Amino acid sequence: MSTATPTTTDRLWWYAVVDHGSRIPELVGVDGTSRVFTLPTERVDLVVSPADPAVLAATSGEVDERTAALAVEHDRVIGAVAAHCAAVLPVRFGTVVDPTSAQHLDDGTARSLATALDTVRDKLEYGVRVVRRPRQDASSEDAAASGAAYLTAVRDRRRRADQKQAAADDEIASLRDTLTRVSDAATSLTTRRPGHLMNEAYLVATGRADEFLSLAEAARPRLAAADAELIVTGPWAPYSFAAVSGGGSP
Amino acid sequence: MGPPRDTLADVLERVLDKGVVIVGDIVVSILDIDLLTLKLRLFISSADTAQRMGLDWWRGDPFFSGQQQDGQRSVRGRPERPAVGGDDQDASGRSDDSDRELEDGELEQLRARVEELESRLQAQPTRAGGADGEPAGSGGEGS
Repeated sequence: MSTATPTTTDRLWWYAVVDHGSRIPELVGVDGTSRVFTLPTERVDLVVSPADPAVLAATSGEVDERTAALAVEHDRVIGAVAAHCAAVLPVRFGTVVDPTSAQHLDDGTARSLATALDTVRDKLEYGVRVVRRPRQDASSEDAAASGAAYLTAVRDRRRRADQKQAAADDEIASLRDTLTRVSDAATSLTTRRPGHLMNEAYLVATGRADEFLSLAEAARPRLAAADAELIVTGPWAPYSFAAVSGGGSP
Repeated sequence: MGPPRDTLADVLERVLDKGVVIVGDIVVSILDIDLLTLKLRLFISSADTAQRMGLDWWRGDPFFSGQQQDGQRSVRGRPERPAVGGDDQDASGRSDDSDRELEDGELEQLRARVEELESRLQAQPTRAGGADGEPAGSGGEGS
């Protein structure tokens, strides 16, 4: 177990917020060597590790594979803390704090964080994505003996594609309703990916996780029949439900 | 047992875009995430080192590569894992390596073509470019 550790470093990499007095497992930080510990404040504790100058350089200068690896390491630490603590708020990648002033988090921010911790307590995040997977269906076009037959085949293929799309839309609407009923909150993730028909995150009570997954899984064959693939990821720390923004002052 | 939890795309989607954002006196620095995401995208889409890291799934992810996914071609180096019993088989049956070989082959053909055209250009007598509406060195090429 790792609890508050006095530090003389002048920079701390900040991973997460946990309840005041929480105990976290032994972990190494994003640099692979420094120890992760909790920095207590009056209401909540900050999960941090000394910020190695090389790590800071990797996130402020030219981006390379190390930057991507650091993002993965950041998630690793948060995931390990979330697996151990009932309530965890992930902090945005790349947040570096001053250890002295961080212990004097302003009261408004601290209260917001404490409230947010209550919101995600004993809950997990699952990602649910539906991706279009059209099947190759050009054999009738290839076999067309004439131009008219070819155009007819193309028209038929497009009609079938429209029908599949409509069926997928219906299944997604049904899936969304079902999952909303067994979750505490839902939010859309990025919609910028072409081919993604649905990309959402759900906040699910740990006691209902199996039910949630079973209901999601039940939609898989219906979506497949509509040329769509269901992808469920998780459990995650509640990244998508930690939308707390605030300012701190000494 | 729950579903597999992450692909790198999923991790980055959350780590870079989600989570608590605190600014103010306690924060020494916070990255410009938009800039970092853009830099990562540029890096991954161009660097050979990405493949060594198993990051070449970016090439097939339209979010990061900027390419339209056609649904018939999977180039994910690290398969996205469906929850239970899902089929992540590439419908085209083509692997990452075959895609890369094809791209490399096309590249070699293009290089050979450029060299051929350059040779022809050098062999031609010098003309006043554009005098007949056709730039120097382009005559006779039908493709």
